[in-house]
Amino acid sequence: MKPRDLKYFIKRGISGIISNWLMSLASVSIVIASLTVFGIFIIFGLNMNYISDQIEQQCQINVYVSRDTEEKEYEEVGKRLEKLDNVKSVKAYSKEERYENYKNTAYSDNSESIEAMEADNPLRDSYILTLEDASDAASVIKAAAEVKGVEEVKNSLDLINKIVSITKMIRTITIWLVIILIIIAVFIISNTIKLGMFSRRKEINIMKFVGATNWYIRWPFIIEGMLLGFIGALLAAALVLLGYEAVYKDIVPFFGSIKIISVKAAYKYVLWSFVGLGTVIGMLGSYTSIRKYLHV
Amino acid sequence: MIEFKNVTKVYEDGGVKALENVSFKVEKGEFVFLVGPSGAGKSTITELIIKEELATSGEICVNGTELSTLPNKKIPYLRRNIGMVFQDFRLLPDRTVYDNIAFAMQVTGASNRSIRRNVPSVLSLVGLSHKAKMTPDQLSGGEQQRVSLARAMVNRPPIIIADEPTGNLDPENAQEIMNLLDDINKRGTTMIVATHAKNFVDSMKKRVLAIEDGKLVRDEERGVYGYEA
Repeated sequence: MKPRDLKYFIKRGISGIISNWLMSLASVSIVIASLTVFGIFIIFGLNMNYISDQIEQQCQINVYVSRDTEEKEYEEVGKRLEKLDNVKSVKAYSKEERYENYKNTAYSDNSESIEAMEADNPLRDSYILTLEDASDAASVIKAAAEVKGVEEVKNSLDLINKIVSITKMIRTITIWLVIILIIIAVFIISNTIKLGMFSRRKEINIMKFVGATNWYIRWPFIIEGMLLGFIGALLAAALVLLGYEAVYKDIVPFFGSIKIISVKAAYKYVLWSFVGLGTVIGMLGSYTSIRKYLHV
Repeated sequence: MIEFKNVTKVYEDGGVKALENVSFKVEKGEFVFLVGPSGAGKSTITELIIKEELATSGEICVNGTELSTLPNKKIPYLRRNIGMVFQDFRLLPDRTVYDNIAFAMQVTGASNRSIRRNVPSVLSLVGLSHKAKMTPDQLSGGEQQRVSLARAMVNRPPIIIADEPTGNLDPENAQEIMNLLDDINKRGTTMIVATHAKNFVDSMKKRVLAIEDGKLVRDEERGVYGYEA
């Protein structure tokens, strides 16, 4: 393709968008709508994976002793826990430490509850067990619960399973929603291009009888569709990323020590997949129109 | 150069028989008038030559290629060898005279250098060098037809087909266009002119093919129009 031809195709593509602005607006809007839904899902899904990875990696078992346990008895419980099979380490996590942690992270602005806790710490002393082999957590949980002095055992496996099943459900719903929206987007772009072809039928006719190749006639319309998809994708990416950035600061404390995907990382995932997908949607739209109506 | 052998064309929608068993041969450098009542099949012949339509039966050869064997992908290259002139000029209204002509070269992938060389040369041939920067709506009908003629010849095709080239013009402008077609033919371009213009056909003494009801009824060297104008 000569640079002159490329310049011509792009120029005609842009002039097609402008002269057919109402339909172009509709096309861009539907691309924005479908990709925004897609983007919300991407960010949600990325975070769910990220979070369950972290929880799985930690694979900790929290063991609590009762509130009225003496200091000495608490230490004894630790020694008993160390003797269990498949336990790599036992880390003491006293109620004082837990209180400090609690104060510094989640509800640091909730001064009322903190004051109340300062006066009478309601938290229990605990131990954090890490395992040699995370897949056999169930037997350790069972054994730890039977250790003398242990009041309660909590683990993160249930949480992981819950996250996985919620993510799966949301994924199925979103995939169908996105597929339907993409089909609508392709259809609307296809109609936009069809109108463009209709308004330029005279020019197309002239191109045909002066001997323009089929691709020469097609390119401006393909570029028009690609541009519509591309513009819609950029706007949708901006919408999703700015939206994420806006809520990011509010979400972070909610998860405490668990990290969520940074805006920068989301940017990397969203922008390129959007631009790629948007452009492909636009191309598909114009191509279906060309096949149906251009007869070249 | 162009040969029809027993060509029949039946349009699929409606089953109208536009041409029936038509055979003729046009040699290189000939000037041929195609005459006959409206709807007799003149435009069908034109459409068949540029493979806009396919013959239902029979053979059509253009420049040594049998058109039914020509793959659709090659049709543009066939058309680059055939300049087309229409009654309604078919110029792009949003572009200058110069750009309208240059466009025909651009789509064929001609170099910018040859465009800059050929466009002014055909413009001066049709006498419109001074109006190169105008748009078609600033020109008279005769001038617009001269632009479309310049466009048809800018790629130096061996064949030019003009379909009612004077149909929308006053007698003076029509005369000018016919003179130009004659000039271009004398430089070696094969010329096929479908027309209703009795006076030109009678006075120019060229070969005449007469079509009636889809049949070739007359093929005369130095013929006449033969119908009431």
